[in-house]
Amino acid sequence: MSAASLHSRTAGKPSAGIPPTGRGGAPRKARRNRRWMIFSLLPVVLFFVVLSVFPVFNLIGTSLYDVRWSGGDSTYHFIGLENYRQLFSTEVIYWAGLRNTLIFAVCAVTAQMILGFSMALAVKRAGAMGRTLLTGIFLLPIVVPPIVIGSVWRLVLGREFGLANGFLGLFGIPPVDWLGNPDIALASVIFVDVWHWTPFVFILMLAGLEAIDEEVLEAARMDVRSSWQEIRHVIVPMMLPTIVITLMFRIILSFKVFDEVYLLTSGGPGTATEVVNFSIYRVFFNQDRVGYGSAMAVITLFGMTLAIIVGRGLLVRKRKNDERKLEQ
Amino acid sequence: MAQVTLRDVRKSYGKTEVIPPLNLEIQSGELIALVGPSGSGKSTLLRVIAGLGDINGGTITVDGTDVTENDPGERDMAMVFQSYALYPHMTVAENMSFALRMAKVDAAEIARRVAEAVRILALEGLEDRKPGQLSGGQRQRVAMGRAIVRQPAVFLFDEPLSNLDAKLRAKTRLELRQLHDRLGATSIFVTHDQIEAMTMADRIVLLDHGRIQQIGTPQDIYHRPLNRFVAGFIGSPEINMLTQPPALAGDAFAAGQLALPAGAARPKLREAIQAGRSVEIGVRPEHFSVSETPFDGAVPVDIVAVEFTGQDAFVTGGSEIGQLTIRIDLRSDPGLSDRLSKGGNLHAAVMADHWHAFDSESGDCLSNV
Amino acid sequence: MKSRSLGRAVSTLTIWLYAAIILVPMVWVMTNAFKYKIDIITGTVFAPITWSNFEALLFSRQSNFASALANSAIVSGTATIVIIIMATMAAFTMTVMRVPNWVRWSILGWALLFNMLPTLTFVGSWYLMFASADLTGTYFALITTQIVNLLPIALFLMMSFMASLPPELIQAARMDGCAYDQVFWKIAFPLVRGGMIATTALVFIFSWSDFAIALTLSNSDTMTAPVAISTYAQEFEIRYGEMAAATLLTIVPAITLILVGQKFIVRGLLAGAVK
Repeated sequence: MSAASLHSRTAGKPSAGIPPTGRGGAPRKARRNRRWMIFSLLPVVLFFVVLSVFPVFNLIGTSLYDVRWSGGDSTYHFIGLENYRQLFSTEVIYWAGLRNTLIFAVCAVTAQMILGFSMALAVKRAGAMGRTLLTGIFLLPIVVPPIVIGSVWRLVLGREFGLANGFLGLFGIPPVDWLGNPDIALASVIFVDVWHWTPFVFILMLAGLEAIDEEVLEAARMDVRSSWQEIRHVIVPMMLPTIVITLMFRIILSFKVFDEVYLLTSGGPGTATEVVNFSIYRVFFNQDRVGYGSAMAVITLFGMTLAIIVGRGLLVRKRKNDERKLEQ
Repeated sequence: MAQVTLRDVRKSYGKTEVIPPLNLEIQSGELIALVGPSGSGKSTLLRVIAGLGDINGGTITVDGTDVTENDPGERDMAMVFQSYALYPHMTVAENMSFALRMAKVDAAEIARRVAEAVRILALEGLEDRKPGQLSGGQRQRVAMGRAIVRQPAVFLFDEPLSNLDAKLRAKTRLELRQLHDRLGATSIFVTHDQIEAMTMADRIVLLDHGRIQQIGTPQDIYHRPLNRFVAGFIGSPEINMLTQPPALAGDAFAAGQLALPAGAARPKLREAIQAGRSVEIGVRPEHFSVSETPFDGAVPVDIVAVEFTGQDAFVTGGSEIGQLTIRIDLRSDPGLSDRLSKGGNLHAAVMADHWHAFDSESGDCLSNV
Repeated sequence: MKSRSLGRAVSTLTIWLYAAIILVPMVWVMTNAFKYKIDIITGTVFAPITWSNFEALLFSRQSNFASALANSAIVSGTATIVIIIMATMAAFTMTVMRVPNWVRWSILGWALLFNMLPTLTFVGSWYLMFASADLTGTYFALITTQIVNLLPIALFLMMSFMASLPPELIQAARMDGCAYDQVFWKIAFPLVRGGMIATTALVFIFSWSDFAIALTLSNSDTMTAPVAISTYAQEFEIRYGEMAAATLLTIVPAITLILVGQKFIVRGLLAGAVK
């Protein structure tokens, strides 16, 4: 440092640092910060309140009415809990849809997890050539509109000119009605969902694997006798948080399924591939039974909210237990 | 230049109190070090002074003006951060001038101040670089520059040297002190490194669990620790706490065979011993006189380890008054460390008045009066 | 060593096999877009190339696909811009400022829950709301519902990017005299640009992909590309060639983003899934 004087301040005045913002302007700036906080949060809050909180109440309200459409005008007749009574007594399709949705969620997600995790392990342990290209291909199903996926598979699984039956035909196997046969339609839909979402699980799992400290894995490799032991006793326990969260995430999101089913089977044949979302859609928009559809939506909303809260509670409790074990 | 006063300042996170009511007066132009182990609240205290963290009570005044409610940018304080916190998207010159631009200082004045800071900090030619293209030492100087162009009343430093390597740190320590002397502004810096605090500060504030343990010059803190915590924290290697309690032999103090020569009466300690209270003796490693043969007032030490560091050697060994670490000056007898070895022994006595007595329960020092 | 390189070969093979399973159906459909109907039906692999499907789709009088594409661009583009602006500002405030706890937790809690609930359960209510205001079928209805639908994801993504800013940088700016709006514009905004690009890419893709909202709230004038595709599939006699061509055109934005911004998409997916 060379000799110099930065001391060229006005003598006498103790701090000539930055003139305009001396001391004592506090309230002005505090007000400005508060204004910014409101300005930045208000739009988000407004959108949430008007278009997501209010609709819940709107649905609850509507579900207490019998709504009739006649030429663009609607008339509301208050019927109390009649819609709910009907839903819990005479309704068949909705409950079949719920059963299918559950089967769909459990089967599809299990398959996605197993496939995604094993592929991630394979890539992590052995490395694979052409990683960028691979990632690109794996991203494809994630970023392509679900309706396109439905459309592609509708064409592939089509009975007459589909690729799948064409392929089977090469081996002399007679064509299968993938989407029209009630016994296999749900399996086909599940297959498409597995195809759709396994790459997503794979990418998450690979990232989780690569976040594991390499030195821990090297240390483990000194201690284990087989790859199986390494996977079973080292990798899976370390990955467990990622696995559990991905699992929950996927199960909940699989309740959102609608687009592919709409295009592939529209819930048919019969109720073979009916899902909850489709029941609500049909009652609301095709049958114009707005009050009844609202009741379905309300039950679905509260059921799912309950499931999410319970699921999260279990997750939190498990985490707390683990921490307690660590402390002991 | 400004006097900074903290009165009954409190801070807690939820139910945990990080800083119990605390009072502190910092004189104008002083260089103050806030020192303490990690978790002692020293960084929190610095941020409280800066206005970066809300407080739960008390007032902070600068030159008599209450700034407690002021925004961090309106306290006339500048801060150098541990990570330097340079804006990665701005050049060196833009980093330095940012505060002035925010305050709408006119361009000519900004240019003048930046040029001056650049010259003082020897950053010529780097004005248009981004922080990512600078070395660690250069980044540290830019962070300093960002503070000095503002010509603030108070400088705050949060571990400003901890990200530098050992050599550069020693050099920068000196430069920082010279810079402080030249600017004459009040400076408060946080460090966990006692050497840094001892060498740079006019006064040291030693904190533990948010409480001030002692405020004083480096000499005060080192020679006249107010309690066991201060004595233990300052000094490396750490002060020896004897397992043998002191006793009175007529007018003189002793711990077992070890004489504790005192030039003054030490009435407080005398009283405590006579009342049968539990007392501990502390002796710094450098305050022993040693000999290879027994002498009066000395205890034999069975050597466990000898660490040679150049001018000194540290001898660790067991004795009847507990395990001792002793610093031996090798200048008068360079061959001594070779003759001492594990399994051998050494005789050590305490230099007159270079020992401390602490109440075992409260930890308060009993030997200062 | 030998078993190791064998394992390597096997896993490389497996992973490429899966890549092929992903690619083959899509490529097969895409190639159909360039074939005459007769070649599609007979399953000819190397058929003569034709643009007739695209011509029929884009320029024929019966087809409104060109306007569907334009509608998709208008709705997704506008919604994405509004979402990014709102989410970036709110995420900054939620991460950096001391927002009262009840505000923070009601926003985050609702965003989390709303994001997991099926869109279809809300669509009915939206329809009723917009119908009573005589706004169904308008861009306004489509865009505002798209915004609320994707706002949670964008908010979480931007919060994770904002959280990666070093807190000392914000404090330094505060010391330098910035109010929080200035910290946002001068420090945070320039530094999270990468995160904003990732979020924009993802939000645009999701918005472009939306089907449930557009299906129920659009009319024949404001119909988006996914809805148009679904109508082709529902016709009595499926026009395979045109449907394939429409599918191909609809995934152009997705393909472009994979080619140009693969890194950003992966970053966004990972950041979003950590929650």
